[in-house]
Amino acid sequence: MFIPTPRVQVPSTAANGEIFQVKALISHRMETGLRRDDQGDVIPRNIINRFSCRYNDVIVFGVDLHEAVAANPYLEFYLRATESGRLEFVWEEDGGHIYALTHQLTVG
Amino acid sequence: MPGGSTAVSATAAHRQSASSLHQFIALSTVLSLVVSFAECSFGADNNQGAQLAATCAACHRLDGHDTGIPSIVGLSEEQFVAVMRAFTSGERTGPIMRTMARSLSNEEIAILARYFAARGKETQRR
Amino acid sequence: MSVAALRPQAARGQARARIIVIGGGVGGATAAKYLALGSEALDVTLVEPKARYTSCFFSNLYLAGLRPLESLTHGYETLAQRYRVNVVQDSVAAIDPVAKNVSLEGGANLSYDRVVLAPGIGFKAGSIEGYDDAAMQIMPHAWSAGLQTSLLRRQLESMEDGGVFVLVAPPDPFRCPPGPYERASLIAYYFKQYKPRAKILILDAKDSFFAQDVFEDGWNRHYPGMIEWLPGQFTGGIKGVDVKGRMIKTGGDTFKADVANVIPAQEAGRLAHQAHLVDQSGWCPIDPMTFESKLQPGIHVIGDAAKAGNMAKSAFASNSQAKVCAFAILAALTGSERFVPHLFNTCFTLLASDDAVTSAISYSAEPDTIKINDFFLSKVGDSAETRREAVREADGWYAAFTHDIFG
Repeated sequence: MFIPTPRVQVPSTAANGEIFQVKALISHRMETGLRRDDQGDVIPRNIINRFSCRYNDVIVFGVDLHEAVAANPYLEFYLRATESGRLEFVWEEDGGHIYALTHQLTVG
Repeated sequence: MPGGSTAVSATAAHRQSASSLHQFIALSTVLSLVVSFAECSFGADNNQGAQLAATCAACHRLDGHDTGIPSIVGLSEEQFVAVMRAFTSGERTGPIMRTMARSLSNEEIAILARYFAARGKETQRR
Repeated sequence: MSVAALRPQAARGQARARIIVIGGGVGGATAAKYLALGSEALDVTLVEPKARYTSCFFSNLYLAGLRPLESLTHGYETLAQRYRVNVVQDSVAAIDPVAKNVSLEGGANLSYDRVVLAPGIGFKAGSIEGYDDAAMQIMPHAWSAGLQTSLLRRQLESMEDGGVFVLVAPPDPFRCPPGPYERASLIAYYFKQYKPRAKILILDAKDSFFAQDVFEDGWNRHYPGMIEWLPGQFTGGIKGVDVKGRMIKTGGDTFKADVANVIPAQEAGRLAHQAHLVDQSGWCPIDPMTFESKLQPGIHVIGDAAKAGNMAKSAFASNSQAKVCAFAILAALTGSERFVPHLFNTCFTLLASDDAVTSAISYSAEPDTIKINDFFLSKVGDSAETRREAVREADGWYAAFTHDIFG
């Protein structure tokens, strides 16, 4: 059993109009589907194929990931703070499993 | 095809030397009690053989003991050269020995072969 | 047959050149042995404060419960008795390169023709706020083996199942590049048997590490979900520790540990700094052909403290450097012949009790640096038998290698 751990680094407060950094990391093996095991059988593909970030339910950042992305995909991006609210981060795995985190941002 | 038959006979020669190698390992294990002091003399001169052999000593005991990594003392010159060639050509697998063998020139391999063969005779006399 | 019969005595009255080897770790002990073996014309003294040496290499096997600490401990008796090295158990107070004199804490003064200094590593002061000598007793580094290693083992043993073990991994360059990750692997091996709900969190100063794909593959196969690695770019780097709360502060979050192993940023050991052998990098620049210091003639620096180009800081590399250095000193002082130096590094790293990876590197010494000639590293997808065989080789290597140094 392999349990990926999603993590984010986001400030809890920001000034109105401030640009802030978001770091998102998930410990995930990103199995490509191109490798074979000891018996010669193909190891099934199992990757995070999409990451997205919603800011008060609006998608503000999204990315599709493919087989060539290394294990433990790490993403850094920037957002502009406009209103207090909820940031939601979603990692979508092959097979439909979803890993999610939420973060409260206060804009003052 | 003449090229093909040459390659086959070369492989057979290596196999033969590998089996002699095992005999020598067995022999040197028997001798190990007798030769436990032999190491004291190996660097008494600083010839090139002794200096090169110091590199081998980081993994192979030079007193005839075998602690899981085969002893190389007591191999004949021909055996030693054949084993090193087998590693450089990739015929024998073993990444550490392959890297080591490839770092030595043919001349250095010949010097080491003479050194270990001589040391083998020295330890047998004791 | 007596030992003396094999080693003809130097002619009486002939002045013997005096070599003082400082530091009885792998580099120092190897240099002392090969210098003493190499010529009767040298008077070799080894100065080391500890009575016995405990190897850092293979100490992760002790942490895993795979080896007793005693099996990693070696004395200097053979060096003294068989090779006639003067073993002095004391600490060096100062090296005076002008007067060519080494003073010892015990009060003795030793004059020398050459010094071989093998001081090992020191920790960069202030690199992690709050991580001082007292903190090391609560959050051990265990990066010099001995009491620190047994302290960490006791903490792991008393940790409850479900606890979090945090390992802080240092920035480059540091002693034993695969070491922190082998440690995580082997502590996971221990947890899997005795505390299966425990977690391991690696907080790394770096953004990638040696043989990362091989380690991550091993972690997924042997300990799925147990080990998590966070790169410096995600955490913002390791900033400080709160010893009372067993907390580790990063550029972003603060992490709570049940057991913390903090391996700080490293530099050449204290003695190298005292003797002005260190440049701005924190390490000792040397001539790659002789390992003589570029800053102080007559003093050779070997092992982890040396700035040896692309050579990794490892026990095997120290042993290899010690031999090159010893033969260079023998050539300079006794007129023995010089040959092209061979520098080599090999490393066995365990991912589990039946899964070891190997690496082998040959180097060439050039006038100003040491370059990699040839490089091998185990791969993801090696057969299980290859990895098992490497474990057997590793055991054999440890026995032969420590015999080469201390036996």
